[in-house]
Amino acid sequence: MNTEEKLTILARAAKYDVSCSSSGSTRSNKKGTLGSTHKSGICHSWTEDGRCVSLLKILLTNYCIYDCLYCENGASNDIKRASFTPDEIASLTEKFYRRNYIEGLFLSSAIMKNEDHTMELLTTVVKKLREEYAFNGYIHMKAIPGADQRLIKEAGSHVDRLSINIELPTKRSLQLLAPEKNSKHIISSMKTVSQKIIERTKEKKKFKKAPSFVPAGQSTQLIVGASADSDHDILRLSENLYQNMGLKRVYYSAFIPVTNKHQNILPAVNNPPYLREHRLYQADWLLRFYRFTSKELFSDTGKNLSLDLDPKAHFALNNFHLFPVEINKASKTLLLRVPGIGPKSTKKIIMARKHASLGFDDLKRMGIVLKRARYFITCRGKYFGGVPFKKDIIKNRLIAGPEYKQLSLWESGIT
Amino acid sequence: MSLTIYYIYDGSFTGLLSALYYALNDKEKDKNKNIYILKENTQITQDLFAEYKKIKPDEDLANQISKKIKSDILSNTLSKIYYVFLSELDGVENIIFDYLKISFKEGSQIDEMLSNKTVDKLNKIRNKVSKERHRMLGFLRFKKLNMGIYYAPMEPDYDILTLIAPHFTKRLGDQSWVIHDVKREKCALYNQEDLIYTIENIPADKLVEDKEEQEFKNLWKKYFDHVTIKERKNLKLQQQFLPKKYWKYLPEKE
Ligand code: SF4
Repeated sequence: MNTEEKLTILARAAKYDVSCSSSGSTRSNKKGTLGSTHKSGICHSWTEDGRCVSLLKILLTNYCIYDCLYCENGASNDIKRASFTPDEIASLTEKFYRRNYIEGLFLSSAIMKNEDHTMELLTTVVKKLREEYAFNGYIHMKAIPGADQRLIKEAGSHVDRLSINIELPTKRSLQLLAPEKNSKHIISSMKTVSQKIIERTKEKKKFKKAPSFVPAGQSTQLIVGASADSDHDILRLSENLYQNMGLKRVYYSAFIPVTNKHQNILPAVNNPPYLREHRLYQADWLLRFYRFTSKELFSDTGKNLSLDLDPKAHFALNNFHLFPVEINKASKTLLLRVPGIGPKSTKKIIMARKHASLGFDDLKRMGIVLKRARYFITCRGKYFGGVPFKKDIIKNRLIAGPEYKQLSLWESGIT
Repeated sequence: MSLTIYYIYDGSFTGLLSALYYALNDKEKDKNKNIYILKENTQITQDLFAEYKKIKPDEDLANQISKKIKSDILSNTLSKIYYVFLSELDGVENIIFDYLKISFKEGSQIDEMLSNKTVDKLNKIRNKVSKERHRMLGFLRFKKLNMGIYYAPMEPDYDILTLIAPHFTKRLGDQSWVIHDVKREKCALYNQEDLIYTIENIPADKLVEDKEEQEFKNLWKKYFDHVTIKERKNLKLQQQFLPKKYWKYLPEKE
């Protein structure tokens, strides 16, 4: 099989992986060498479905000894299979990188032979790239949970980011849908990585030259909609991972059924739950950048996020007594709670109001999007919502507003 | 009647800084004077009563004013002005001039005065240039030529060559390359040691692709096609992030 065929099979298999981020790492490099990383991440192209292409995202192999019910690569599925050699991947990465097609490599794999064997091959790829090719570009690797700790640690010393996928948010659903996977292994592999990160960060404080370990941090992925787990279960887990395991990102991936073999166990899915996935990203954003707690997001309603309203608007309506807030006086925390106003706008407002009292037009000129925020603020005591300040009326506005329809499912950010 | 004076500069950044030097000094001496800065060869209706002064680019004056900007305003102000200058938009010199007048008065506060109209105008232009710069870091495509050099053509809206070339000296430090602004007929050349800018054009017969080029272009196209999720096609969204004006040199869009 030639490289082109392999690439076709193994890129296809990786495409549903949502994490495109290549940011958060600055790799120092010596003059006259290949590769650097960029703190804020760079998109090199955009697919026709509007996703950023930043990394060469491929599987090492899609041969798998396991048969997880939700996965296309499961051993009992009749699909085309292929494997790259470590050399092929390293060379392809280098060639693409030299042409500025990509920011780096995102490497994952199905499990061939056994965990250790696969992990060994993955580690060989990144070692080759760093040592033989002197490649300093970005590398994100998905480690194989349960592989030998030594291998995971070795891989970690070469990559920028390491993920270990949890896939299913509760032990119960893991047992049901991926019976061969062991939740203990997953968690202990994640712990190995996070401990090593903490250890190395301490060393780095003492000696600047200490080698780095996963400088862009650890991440994981959860599948949404393949099991009965609620959004509350999912976000509680994420919160836990951020707080106790120091994770940088949790990615959510809407479940897309691959065969109908498991109809009796898997839920019927006519349309993959993309909107739910989007809401989870928005809520996750609130956990990470607004210091919301998962509890706040579910205050009175059930266990799932509202599909009609984004979680921040939902919060505002549930805590209506806090609004409207006066733009010239409100605390930073409160400004951040206003639907439509994000950290950047908050910063701008706080800076600008030191020098002049701000009116509605000033906010507009400063580029602050007021479509939704207008219902929740006053400027110099004046309300610009254009409708009476009543919960039901505003709720209708938020739901019916054109901005809701324009929301891109791929924009995980929330303002 | 108050006096009007036009300072005319040659279009270079050093020239602009020299003109600013005179303009700012002038303004300090006589607050009532109307002062404008103009690029050479700009079409204007001549004002019979105005004075026109041609300013030669002067490294010394440019240095003096640069230092003063850095020490009296903010360390990043000069770079901000440089970005705005590179926008090549009409009348940008006078926005810069107005901005500096305010900045010398307000000092380091200037960055926070976001509701001020001049500050806002200047910031918006800077952000446009900076956005294109960031985009081009990703959209630029190199191809290997048969003489072993990598060649990347582009046609950006703004004159961002000097803003992007240094990024590639770090990234593609062990290969020789040329970034060519086809529209402005300028190049950045890098030989694994030094980076230089020239206005020489590259003769077409030098631009012969290396044998392996087609193979990798093709692999890249294949890759690009196979990561698209067909069920989620949204061409509008794609174009919002990757405007058509940048497609010309992207192999995946050929
Ligand atoms: S182990 Fe991974 S690749 Fe294999 S079937 Fe399970 S999820 Fe799919």
